[in-house]
Amino acid sequence: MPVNCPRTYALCVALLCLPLLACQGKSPSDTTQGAQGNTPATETTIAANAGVRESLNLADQQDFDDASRGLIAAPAALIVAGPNQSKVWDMPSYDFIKG
Amino acid sequence: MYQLRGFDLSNMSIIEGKTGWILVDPLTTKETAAAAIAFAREHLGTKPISAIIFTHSHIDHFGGVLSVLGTDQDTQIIAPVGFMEEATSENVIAGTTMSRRSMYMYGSQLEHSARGHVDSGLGKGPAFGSPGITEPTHIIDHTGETLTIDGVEFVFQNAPGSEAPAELTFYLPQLKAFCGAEVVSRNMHNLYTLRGAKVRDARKWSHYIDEAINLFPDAEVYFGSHHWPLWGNERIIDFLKKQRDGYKYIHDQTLRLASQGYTPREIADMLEMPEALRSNFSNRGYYGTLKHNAKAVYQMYFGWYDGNPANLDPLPPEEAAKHYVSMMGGADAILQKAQADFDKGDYRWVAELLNHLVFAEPDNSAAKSLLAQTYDQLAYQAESGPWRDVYLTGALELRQGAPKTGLGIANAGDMIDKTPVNQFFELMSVMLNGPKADGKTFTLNIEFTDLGKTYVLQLENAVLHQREGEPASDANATVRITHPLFVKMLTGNAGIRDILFSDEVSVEGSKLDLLQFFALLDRPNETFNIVTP
Repeated sequence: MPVNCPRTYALCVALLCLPLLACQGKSPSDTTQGAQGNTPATETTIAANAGVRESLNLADQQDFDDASRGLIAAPAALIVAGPNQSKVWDMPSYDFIKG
Repeated sequence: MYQLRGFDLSNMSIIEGKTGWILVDPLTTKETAAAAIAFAREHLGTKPISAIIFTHSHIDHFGGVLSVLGTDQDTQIIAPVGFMEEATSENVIAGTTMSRRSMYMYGSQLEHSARGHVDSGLGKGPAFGSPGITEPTHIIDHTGETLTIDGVEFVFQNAPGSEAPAELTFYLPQLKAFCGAEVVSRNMHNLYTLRGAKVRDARKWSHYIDEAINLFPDAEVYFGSHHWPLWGNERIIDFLKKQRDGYKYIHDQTLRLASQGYTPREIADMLEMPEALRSNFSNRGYYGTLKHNAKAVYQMYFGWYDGNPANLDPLPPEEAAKHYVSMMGGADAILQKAQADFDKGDYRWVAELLNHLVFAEPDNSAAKSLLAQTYDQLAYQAESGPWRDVYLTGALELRQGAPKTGLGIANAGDMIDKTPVNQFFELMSVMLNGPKADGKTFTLNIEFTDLGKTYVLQLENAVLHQREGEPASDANATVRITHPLFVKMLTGNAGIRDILFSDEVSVEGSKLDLLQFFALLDRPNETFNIVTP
């Protein structure tokens, strides 16, 4: 590999792992509960998170570009089985995260 | 160079050598490492593994090694000084407490959903499978050491006491590539980790990053043990400087505010990162947070006591809670006030208020329900993966109670066999129930038939001591046992009595005394209560 041309290739599943702002609850009118009983985000929480979103330059997509640069391959649905029918690793369980 | 990301909490990197692959950090478990290496071979072809580098002593950077090692005895294994001791010993005597708290930090009981676990900040989450370990063949013990591994030139930086007690980074001059291990990452890391651990030294940590900038100024590519790479010298230097300054800013400003008389809770609320760091994604608190890291710096220098006499010897939580509840007019009055404050969105205050009520009246379901809702909101507002999971796990356990099973150290499998045996005597010492042992004396010889070593345990003043050496002639009993069986006896699910009296163990002296001695050891509770008394 030429000295002046360092390259890193990626074989990856998760491009980004920011536990970010795309994952808040629904509107306050949504009174349904998650399977574990979690209640929806309130107006206060939605406003607080919107404040964080506005404080950041989310148009800057450099991290997303870096994370996908040189991608060779990614498994479609990576589940790694463990002992006694357990799952050691379960990427499809994160499919709810979009954008 | 290649990198496998998303197969585990951490990354496995592959550097092509002359004859094979040099692997950096073979993930947490045999299962995930096997999946990753199989995937790499599927797409890149099969090459022998010529060397493995463990960047540091945390399990997500070596635990899968037995899957990638194969049968080649000549594989070089490189690790930082102190690796083996730190990797096997870190969590033995405090292990159960840390494991229980990890369930909160990593949200291991939470469903993966928009209202559940989303990410850990370092990666999706820990892999709970079968970890293993193997002895390194070469130890890096100083900065500037160079090695040529399978035709590739390496320059190492030894960075003990940075993110881990044993850690290294390295530079590949031929590729102009810098591996920052976990000394740097694409977010703010932990000076203190919420599962509970000794605090890390922010000043030293920052210094190592500064040193790396000066040692490896020509890097054109950066890659690490978590997250994704960076390209271009200017961006890399900017990233490293901001990592360096993030930790140093927290360190310096916490001490500045402490010198003005501010205490941890005040400092955590006052501190704000400077604009250049605040707006930079790789300094955001997706894993560690500014608030708990500032408290860690305070703890490093001043410990748990904030200097205010009111906090020197306060009542324990349940007793204080009963006073508060009575003074505030009882449960109904508190619930009414808490609901009003919840409706105003004052969640941190509501959590404090209702925590008193739950600790005074653990069966008050209205209190637990509103506190769980409050934790939901605190979770949704958290940017840090661990903060979110801590709050959501608190909410879950308020709704459903503590879990039925824990993540005890018995699950550490192959790791336990490599842990130095004296660690397990230390474990026995901390399992000893002091009040029950008060006034008792006992001397026990333990002869390890497989190790050829004898240890003498001595109980006096309700304290258990150990020494390696000649058996005591006046011992109350002598037990001849193998190391694995002894470890199983202490950490496994089988009863001590069953193991002691099995055919695999020989006992000399009074069996009754021996049983009475072992009855002084408390089995750790892997599922103790946290959000309720």
